[in-house]
Amino acid sequence: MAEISMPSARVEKAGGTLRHIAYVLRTNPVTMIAFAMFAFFLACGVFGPALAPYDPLASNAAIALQPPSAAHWFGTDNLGRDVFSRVIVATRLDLMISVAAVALSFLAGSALGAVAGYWGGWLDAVLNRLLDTIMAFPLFVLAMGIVAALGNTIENIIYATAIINVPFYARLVRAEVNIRRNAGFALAAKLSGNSDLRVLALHIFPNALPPMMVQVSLNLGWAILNAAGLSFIGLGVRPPTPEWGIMVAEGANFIVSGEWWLALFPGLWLMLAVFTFNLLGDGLRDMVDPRKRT
Amino acid sequence: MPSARVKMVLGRVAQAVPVAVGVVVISFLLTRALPGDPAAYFAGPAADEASIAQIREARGLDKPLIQQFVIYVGELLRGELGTSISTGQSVAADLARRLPASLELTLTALVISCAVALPLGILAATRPGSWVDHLCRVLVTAGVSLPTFFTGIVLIYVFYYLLGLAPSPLGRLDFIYLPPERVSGFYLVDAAIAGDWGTWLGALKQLILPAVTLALFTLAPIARMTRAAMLSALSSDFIRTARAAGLTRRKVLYGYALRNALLPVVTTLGMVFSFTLGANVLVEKVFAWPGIGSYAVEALVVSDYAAVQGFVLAMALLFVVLNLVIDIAYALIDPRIGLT
Amino acid sequence: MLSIKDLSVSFRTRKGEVNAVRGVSFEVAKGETLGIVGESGSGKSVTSYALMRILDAGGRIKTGDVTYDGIDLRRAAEREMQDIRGREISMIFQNPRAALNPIRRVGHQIEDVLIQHAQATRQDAREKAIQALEAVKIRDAEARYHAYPFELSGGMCQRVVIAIALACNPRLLVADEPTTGLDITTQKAVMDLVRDLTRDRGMSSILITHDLGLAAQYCDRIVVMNAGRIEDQGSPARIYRQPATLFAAGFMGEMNRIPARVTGSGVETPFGTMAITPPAAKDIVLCLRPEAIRLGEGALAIGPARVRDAAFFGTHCRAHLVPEAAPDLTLVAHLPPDSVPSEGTVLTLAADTDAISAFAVE
Repeated sequence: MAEISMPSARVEKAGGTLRHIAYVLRTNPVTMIAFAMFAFFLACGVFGPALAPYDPLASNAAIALQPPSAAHWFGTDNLGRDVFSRVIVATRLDLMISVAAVALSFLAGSALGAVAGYWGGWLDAVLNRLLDTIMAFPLFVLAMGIVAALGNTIENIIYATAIINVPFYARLVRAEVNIRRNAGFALAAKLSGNSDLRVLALHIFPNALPPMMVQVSLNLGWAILNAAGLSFIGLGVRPPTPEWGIMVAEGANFIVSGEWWLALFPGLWLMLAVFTFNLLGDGLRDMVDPRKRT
Repeated sequence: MPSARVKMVLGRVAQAVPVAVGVVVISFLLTRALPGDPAAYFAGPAADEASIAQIREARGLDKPLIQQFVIYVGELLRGELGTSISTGQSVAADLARRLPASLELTLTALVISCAVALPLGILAATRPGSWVDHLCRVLVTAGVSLPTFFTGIVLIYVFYYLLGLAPSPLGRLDFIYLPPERVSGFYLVDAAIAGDWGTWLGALKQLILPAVTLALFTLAPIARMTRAAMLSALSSDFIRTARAAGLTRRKVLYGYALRNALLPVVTTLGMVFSFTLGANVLVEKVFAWPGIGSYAVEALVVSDYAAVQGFVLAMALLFVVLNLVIDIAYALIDPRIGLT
Repeated sequence: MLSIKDLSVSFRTRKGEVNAVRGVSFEVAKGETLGIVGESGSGKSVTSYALMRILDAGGRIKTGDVTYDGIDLRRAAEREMQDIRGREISMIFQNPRAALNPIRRVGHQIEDVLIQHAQATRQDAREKAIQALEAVKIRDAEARYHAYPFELSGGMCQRVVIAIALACNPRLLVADEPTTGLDITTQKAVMDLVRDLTRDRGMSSILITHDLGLAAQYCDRIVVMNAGRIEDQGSPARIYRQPATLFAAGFMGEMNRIPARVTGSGVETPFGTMAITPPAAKDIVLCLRPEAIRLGEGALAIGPARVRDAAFFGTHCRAHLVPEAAPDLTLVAHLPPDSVPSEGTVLTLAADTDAISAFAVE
């Protein structure tokens, strides 16, 4: 028996969703700002090297350690490199690391959680044990251990961050799938002849997406913090690559002698990026489920 | 016949055992997941072929994985975590020596954190819409975005360089003081026991900035949960009954609402500890604090894998114990738990 | 004892100001049980919260006077109100288990109230708490003193709530939907308990409920509320027979509505002109109770009507009939139980003038 699709209902729903989004944006200026900031960071990431006024790797000992000025908005570092250019270019690397990590953990976590939530039984028990064990580690410490074990490269930073984020998605998807497993629409889809896998992938999972989007946004912020923390202690990224965490680490040495701009600007930028994703997550949560507003 | 309470505590402890086992398994896998030859890593970069082969045999790295695991567990139970390449001493001894410094920092930070976050959350809940409420909300949103290492650096810049109030961020004690005689390893406790108030003050001054940095990080989730839990408790039916029965505002707020609100706050503490133990590492690096976090960071730099893995395992087991304590504390406070 | 005059309560919400109670006035005499009945949202609970001054944060009393035993409750200081609550006026709520502190033993919760109102010292609080539990007929009171709410049944929890409310011997008890969430047998037990205790102690009480049967059974007088206003107040029997408003008429029981028009010669109905005193309006509605319709002749000659369905109800036969004079009306009648007419039978119906209430169409 063929699947019965209802295109008009879907279009109506899409129109209603857009109107709802527009309403939330209008009544919640903070969310609008978050979206704008997100667009800004995205632009920095995509067009970074083109936007930077100077070559981020070009060192010039003569103009080292100069405070912010008209020529160098964020000043120059100890090798005479323009801090502003380095901060902008670093956006791409930091965003790429966190997006890759979150995407990986999203895919892996969703798959695991969906399977466990739908079929239950020993699959579920094994998954729970695995997740409990991962969560039994302080997560940053576990990331340190994974990177130390696998090797000090950027790829391993991504894998480590992905692994420690898997439990959030797996748990969320498992719960959502569990709730909807016996819902009317799922049973109806099964009865019209769809296999279990089709029902799970095409019917149940899309319904579970909205709360997951909230989690993705919040996780992106946390993944950036994580990656920056790991590179702050010397893992993954190596000089002279510009990256926010490593720039703060290098700049920290100069704070005690008063050259604040080396560490402050990368740190602020990092903070703004994380803040943007957190605000975005809160705004998405308002759109998806206003009851959860705190 | 053991009471229900004792049985419940024992039950919780029993539940923690499989978790600890899982932790040990993962730790073992991490030590064996090293690319290349594990023996070479344990022997160190300066080792030659002969000593590598010696290490391989001594540590049983040529045996099947299951057997290696058994040997590993055996070593753990003897308290044997390997030898550090940089210090030349046993990792277990190194960790034990440096643990009190980390604990003093973390505990002080938690005390400061709770002392600020709890009243803030309560005030924000009892005065919704006021400036306290807005401050709380801003703090919570900003707090979860702040990178710990960055706040530490900013605080050093402001309070040490600009204002000259804080001492140089070079560790637990300025070099003009001698560390007090070691009783607990906590300088504040040991200096007080010895009656050496000069050293006590010196230790305190060094402790404030790193503890505040760490506290700022944990402030946000605790304040958020306190506020949410208090709001929820205050709008429940039993509070209405208490008010209608004429109980004073203070009794209703603290005796009835807060006691109930503390339950979800205690649960949050578990998650807070997870982040704290991780942030500890970053704060220790920024302030050159000689705890186990900076030990691990130094070990990472010189590829001292035994030390790093020992650190990860120690932190994880510490975390399991902390979660167990929180679990038991919760079950003791809430009479509804632990009857099954 | 309690006098409420022209009370208005409003709430500040996101959508603006909402008037939950508008100009409500009633009195409660000593020893009387007053029922406040109405649907959800009619403002009956809000009225009681207002008199005890435990409104939610966004609520305030706009106008009106609330006087208890000569004390102006509206202008009393919060300190004074705390003394009055629990000691002079007590309140019990619905969902008894949720109304108790889940992590505190019930005995201690009673003690809190006793100590608060200086009715017991720390030494004899326990004894007095156990006495309070015995007063609400809880067996094995000494053991139950140590119980937590989750260990007790719903009915037991409600008894504890009543024990807390009556511990300090108040003179007025307000019961806000006390039987919601309880099964039928427990409902009766709880209501009987409240009635016996209030009667024994000479207390006045206010029973707030949406269950008309409950109100009719346990209250001396009732107040019918709708959308924040009082539609009618008096004895249940009087309101039933001579309701003051159309809403009150419909609320008190099933009734038939017959549209009519006021003309110079009298009241024109589909069944002929009637000589009754109409309300001041052109279009009116005549209300007729099902049991007031009878077979045969009467002042209002409904005339022949076809039976649509009929069922035996023990004390009467409930029938739906369509009168030939007004085929778009369907009348509900309680006919004698001895014979159940079959569908299609034509019966002659009538009613008497004194059984009819007339209201203007709103």
